[in-house]
Amino acid sequence: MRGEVSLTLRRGERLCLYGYSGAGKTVLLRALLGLRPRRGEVVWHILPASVGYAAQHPRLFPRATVIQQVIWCAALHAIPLSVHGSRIHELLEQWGLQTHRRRQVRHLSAGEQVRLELCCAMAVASQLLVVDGLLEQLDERSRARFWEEVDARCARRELALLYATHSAREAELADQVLMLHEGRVLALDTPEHLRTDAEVEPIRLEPTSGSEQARLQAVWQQDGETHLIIQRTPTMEDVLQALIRRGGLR
Amino acid sequence: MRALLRLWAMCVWLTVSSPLYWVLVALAVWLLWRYSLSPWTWAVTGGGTVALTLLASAFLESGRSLRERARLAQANLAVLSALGATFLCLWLVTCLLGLSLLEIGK
Repeated sequence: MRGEVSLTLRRGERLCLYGYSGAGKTVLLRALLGLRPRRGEVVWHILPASVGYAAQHPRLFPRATVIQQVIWCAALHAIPLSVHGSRIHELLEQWGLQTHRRRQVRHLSAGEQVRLELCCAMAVASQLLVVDGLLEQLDERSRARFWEEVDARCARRELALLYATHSAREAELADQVLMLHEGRVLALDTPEHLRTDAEVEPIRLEPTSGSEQARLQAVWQQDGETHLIIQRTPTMEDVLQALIRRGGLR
Repeated sequence: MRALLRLWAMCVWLTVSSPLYWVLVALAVWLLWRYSLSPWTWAVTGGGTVALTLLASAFLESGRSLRERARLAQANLAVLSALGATFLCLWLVTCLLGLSLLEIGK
């Protein structure tokens, strides 16, 4: 990472670290969590044991069963989860792992291991959930369940979410987006402000059908050629590209 | 206390479910029987077997899992206690197991 980062995350907020691969998202997340050396200060107003962290590569015990893995993670955080309790079965049901509860982790598919990593993080995250690039690996159903749960807990101001992604779709769902590129912070703001401040140019396209022509907003001529301008809401990727070209927000 | 017991159970399970543990125990028992080593040598060998398997299962096999999770949860002391208790418990069991096998084999 080059340069400085200053950010505050409050309960109920969702902060996204967004950038292409190699932008420094994981490095920043791990430095914030104290899992790699850093300069500067991170002030936590919550107990470290209340942080649930889902790493980019699931960190699971290959010979543990699914239910053992969740219970052991909870035990590390001193959370009393019992095999016979309802909470663990709710969690496994929510992540579609209930039928696999007696299976060893090494026999799960890659997608199931991702779900288990997230399940463990959710089980222990009582105040802050940190997710490093796993959301884009989830199938649609699990992704919807994840956001449903996070939305509900954020709305009750129980939980804050800090997540890293290279998916523009996931970044749109954050309250604040920290844009990174090649280890440098380009901007930190709400998605709406970023769209406005980044001054993304409208996209010029040639129409291919009548329906597309109907959506055209304007016609622009340059050097004798006609460009048809389609106005659409810029995505987070459009904003990121604009910021990369410009070297950050002015 | 309950969490500590769970962590102890986790360490025991990680060790006894490891093929490495059983291979090393079998090798040590064979060496003990073949070369008529003293029970003290067996005690040291058994301790080494348990320590090696425990460290390999807890820290190598699962990548950085246990170390990172313990660090994040600030549960280093609890994990060390569980590892220590597991080592003592399994060392005793391994020693008794080896000596019993030798008695049977005589």
